[in-house]
Amino acid sequence: MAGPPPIRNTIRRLRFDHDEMTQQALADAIGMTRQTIVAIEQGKYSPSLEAAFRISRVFGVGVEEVFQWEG
Amino acid sequence: MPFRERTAWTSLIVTPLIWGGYFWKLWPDLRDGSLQPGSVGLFAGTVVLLMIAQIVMAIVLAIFAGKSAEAPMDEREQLIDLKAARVGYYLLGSLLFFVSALWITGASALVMANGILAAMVIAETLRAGKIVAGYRWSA
Repeated sequence: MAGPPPIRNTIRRLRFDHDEMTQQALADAIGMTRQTIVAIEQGKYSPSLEAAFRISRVFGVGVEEVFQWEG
Repeated sequence: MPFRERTAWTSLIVTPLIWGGYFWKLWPDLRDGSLQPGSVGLFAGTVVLLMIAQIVMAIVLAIFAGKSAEAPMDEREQLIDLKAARVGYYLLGSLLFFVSALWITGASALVMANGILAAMVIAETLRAGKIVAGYRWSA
């Protein structure tokens, strides 16, 4: 099994900054399951570009503020 | 646990359990080469049992899952499903190749049919296992 992708994210912090938005609320906002949000937050799953943009729009920031390449 | 992971767990447990029972009963006849057309009754009974088990489990899972049972797959779930289907497809193709080799040994149509059935059961079990693994350890 391939290791996790070299991408880190700040979703946990951004949720905290947005009135402690729940994972379920974020999932509902972008049409995903809570489990997928958990996987993204933990770096176990890299979302599609579309999903990345949707997440960044929920927080009102740019994609690079949510996801950072570590490679 | 997501609804679809529960469904995969059900398939992972129920499929080998029920078809394992079928092949367990059939094995002495298969080994002795004395498989009779009457074994089709056992096959039909197993199919009915599997259908009942799956319907009951689907109803129970849907009741506990609530709205999440109706939600469409998101991209990660689709990826998990596709990866599992690919593994299952390759395994099924490989197993069917070996089953077709039974033809050379002069195996009867009944033995061949059961070989194909076993290949499908193994491939489906692996597919369900791969889905569970995908949900447990992500895509």
